[in-house]
Amino acid sequence: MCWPVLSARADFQVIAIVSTISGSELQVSGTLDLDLSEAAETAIDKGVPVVVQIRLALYRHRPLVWDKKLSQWSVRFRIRYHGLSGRYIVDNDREDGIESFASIQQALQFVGDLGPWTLELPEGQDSGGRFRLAVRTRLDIESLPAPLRPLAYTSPAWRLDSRWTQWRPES
Amino acid sequence: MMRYLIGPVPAVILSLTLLGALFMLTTAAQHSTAFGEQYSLLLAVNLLGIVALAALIIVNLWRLVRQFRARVLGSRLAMRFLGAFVLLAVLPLAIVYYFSVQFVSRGIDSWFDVRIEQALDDALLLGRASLEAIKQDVIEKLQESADRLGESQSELETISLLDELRIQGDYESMSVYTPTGGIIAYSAQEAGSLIPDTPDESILAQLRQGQVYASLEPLTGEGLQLRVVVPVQSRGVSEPDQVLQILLPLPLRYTKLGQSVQTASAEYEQLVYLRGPLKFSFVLTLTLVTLMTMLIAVWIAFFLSRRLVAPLRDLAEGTRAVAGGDYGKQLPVTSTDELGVLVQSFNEMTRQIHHAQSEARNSQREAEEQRTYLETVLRHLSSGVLSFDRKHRLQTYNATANQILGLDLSESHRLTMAEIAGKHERIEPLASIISDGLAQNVSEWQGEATVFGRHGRQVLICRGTRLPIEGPRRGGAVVVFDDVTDLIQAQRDAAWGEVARRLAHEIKNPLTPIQLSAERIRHKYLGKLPKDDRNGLDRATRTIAQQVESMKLMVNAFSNYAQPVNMQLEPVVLNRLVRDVVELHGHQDAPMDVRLQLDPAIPQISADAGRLRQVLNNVIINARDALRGVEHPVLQITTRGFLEAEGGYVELRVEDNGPGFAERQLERLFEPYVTTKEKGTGLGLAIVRRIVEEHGGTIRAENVDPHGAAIVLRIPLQAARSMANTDPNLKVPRFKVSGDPIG
Repeated sequence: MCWPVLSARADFQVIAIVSTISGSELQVSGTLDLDLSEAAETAIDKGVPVVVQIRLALYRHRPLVWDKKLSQWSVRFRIRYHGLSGRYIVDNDREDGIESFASIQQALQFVGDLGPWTLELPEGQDSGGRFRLAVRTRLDIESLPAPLRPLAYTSPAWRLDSRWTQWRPES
Repeated sequence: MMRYLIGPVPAVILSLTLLGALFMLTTAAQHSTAFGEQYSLLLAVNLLGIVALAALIIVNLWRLVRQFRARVLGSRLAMRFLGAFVLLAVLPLAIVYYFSVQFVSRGIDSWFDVRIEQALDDALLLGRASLEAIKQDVIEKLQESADRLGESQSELETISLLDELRIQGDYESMSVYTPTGGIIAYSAQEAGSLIPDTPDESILAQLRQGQVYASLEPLTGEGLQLRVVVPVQSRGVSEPDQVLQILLPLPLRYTKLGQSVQTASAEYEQLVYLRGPLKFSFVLTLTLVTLMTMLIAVWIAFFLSRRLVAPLRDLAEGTRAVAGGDYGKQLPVTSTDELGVLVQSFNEMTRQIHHAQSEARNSQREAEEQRTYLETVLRHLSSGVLSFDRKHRLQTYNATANQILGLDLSESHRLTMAEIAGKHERIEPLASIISDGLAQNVSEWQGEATVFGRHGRQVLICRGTRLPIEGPRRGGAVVVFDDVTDLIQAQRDAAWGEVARRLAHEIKNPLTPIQLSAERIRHKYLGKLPKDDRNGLDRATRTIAQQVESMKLMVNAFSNYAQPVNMQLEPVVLNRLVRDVVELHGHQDAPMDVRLQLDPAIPQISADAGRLRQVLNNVIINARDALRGVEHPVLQITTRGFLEAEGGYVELRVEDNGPGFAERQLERLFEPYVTTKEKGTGLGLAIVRRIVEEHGGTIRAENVDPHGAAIVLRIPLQAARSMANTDPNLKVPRFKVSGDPIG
């Protein structure tokens, strides 16, 4: 059973995360609601690639003190427009190959359907105990072209961030 | 800590760091891959650096303003320097900044050309049209293939036909699906490709509505493939019960050309889109460069103004210290330029002043010691010392001068003797002599004055010496005076004592044998001589006896004059004494008009009433004798009182309207054996003066107009000088005064 522990309002939202710790692996799947601003969509249509970064961090619960971070992962989805074909191409740094979509919403939906991913835990970690999985997705401003970054940093239209959301993995 | 923070070192480090960061930021803003990834970090670093630099400048400015308000030395000049430097730095920077922004904006705008953009759009459109033609051609062929497949009777026939059609169309793969996506048949060029690329649900939905789906899809790498899906309708069935899909990779030549057009168009499109942000980025970078340069310039202005003002401030503080008397002030020499030379000169000047001051202090100390020594000597001198400047104004005096004159000369500082005499009339004779002496152009002079002091008549001998022409007191003079009253009196008393002794011994002793011898001669020979000779002997012996007797009287009188005086002082009312004496003379045979003008306010005096009565008696007798033969003899007796701070005196004036004194006798009138009478001994007025002087008083004689003479006596209110003299070592012989006047 999974439930959001803390969620912040944003244009990017983590809707649901299903995670299971099995042995030395973490199985993750979930749903993200990625809603780009008009400025970001325009930038994509004008040929500017946009990177959606999904970060995951696994913590082991410790009584009385703060939780211990066991491992963290990052997946970056790049969305760009292919003018000749009129399609939106999505690729990521975990898998080879690309996916193309007729609309940007289809591409965002593709990105938002997480996994299922199998993530390896650090060696020596047992699956016993209580864990906490933090998930965050945001638009990576640092991946934008340099001239666009000052504007992106100062404009709310570019600050698309779900903040950290907390999830309880199943063991 | 604060001094270190606002010092040059952190500012220089910060400035260098910021300049480095600024360089990287500028490079990153130009799409350089070197620092592009750190663009935001560099931007943040620069912004923070500018804020830090601005904070440092604000702190410095605040300190400077606070110093300016507190009127700290050098702050005003530093403010002026700062203002000038800032103006010199900021104004050109602002102008350069303005034109640079204009240049950058217009320069970026000039990158973009509408014709190029149109050409790229047209090229992309052409590519799309070309691909569209291919796509339409494939669609037509595929629809024909779908018609043939719809006529197939079995799945084996369908599969066989599918292979045939794929080979005919040169497709990469060809597959048949159910409307819901279930695979029916599949044919592919590569035997290894066993899993068909199934169309997604959106494509199938489109087909279920009877439409054809055809789309170019990018492949991993650079390739493009054409995906065409058409419905397959079996014979006699209105709704499509199958869908046919082919995947056709486009020829490499088409792909490269199309990709080239796509890349160029996309980059240009991106560039056009980024034109605004690019301008913003460049202007931002330029603004940061300008701002940072401006702030660094302002900081350098602070530094330079402080460097320039520091020696001037030190100099100002140094001069203020010197003005305040700190002649040992030395300033740090921090440079070798003109300011450094100036500071060195200042240090040399203060060194020399300090040296000169030390010498002056030593000289002053020596002078002070000498002055103290001199004052000590002067204080213990028995002589009064006065010094005058070249304008004859009193400069210094010693305590003895105050004591002799009975004055406080501190009130007479920088006054001339005439002005001092105006305030103290009784020292007028001394003031007159001193003024005359100072007026003389001689190096030394001497004079004698008789003043009426607090304790009576004083005889002062003063000697003046003109000071050297050179020196601070050039043209001045020093006057030394001594009170020789006691000395003169002692000398006179000693002389008269000696005279009396000699008279008693040398004259009086032989008189008795002379008288006895004359009487014996008379007695022995008077009866034996003839009558004619007898008369002669009788006249001779009588003459001898009378003259001897006269000489005895004279010697006795003189002896009485020279005898020591034993005065009996008591309070005496002078007016009453005058009336008593006048009353005695009222019954004389020679009548005269006696007029009394007595001041009822005169105080009592301390005097010997008998002696004063004798004095008054002698004076009146002398006046009466002088008035013999005068038609209307008048004797005027006047008394007056003079009260002064130093004590005061009473004056008795006896004036007649007789013939007056001969001018040649006036000066010696009170000396013994000076007389105008045929039978006088010449001791009457001498005795009068003796008695008056024994009372500490003065006496003088004068003629009055139109004819007549006056004797003026002044008797001090206090005890007689001889009685008031407390010096036990001063032994003054006293003389007894005869009871009757000898005229």
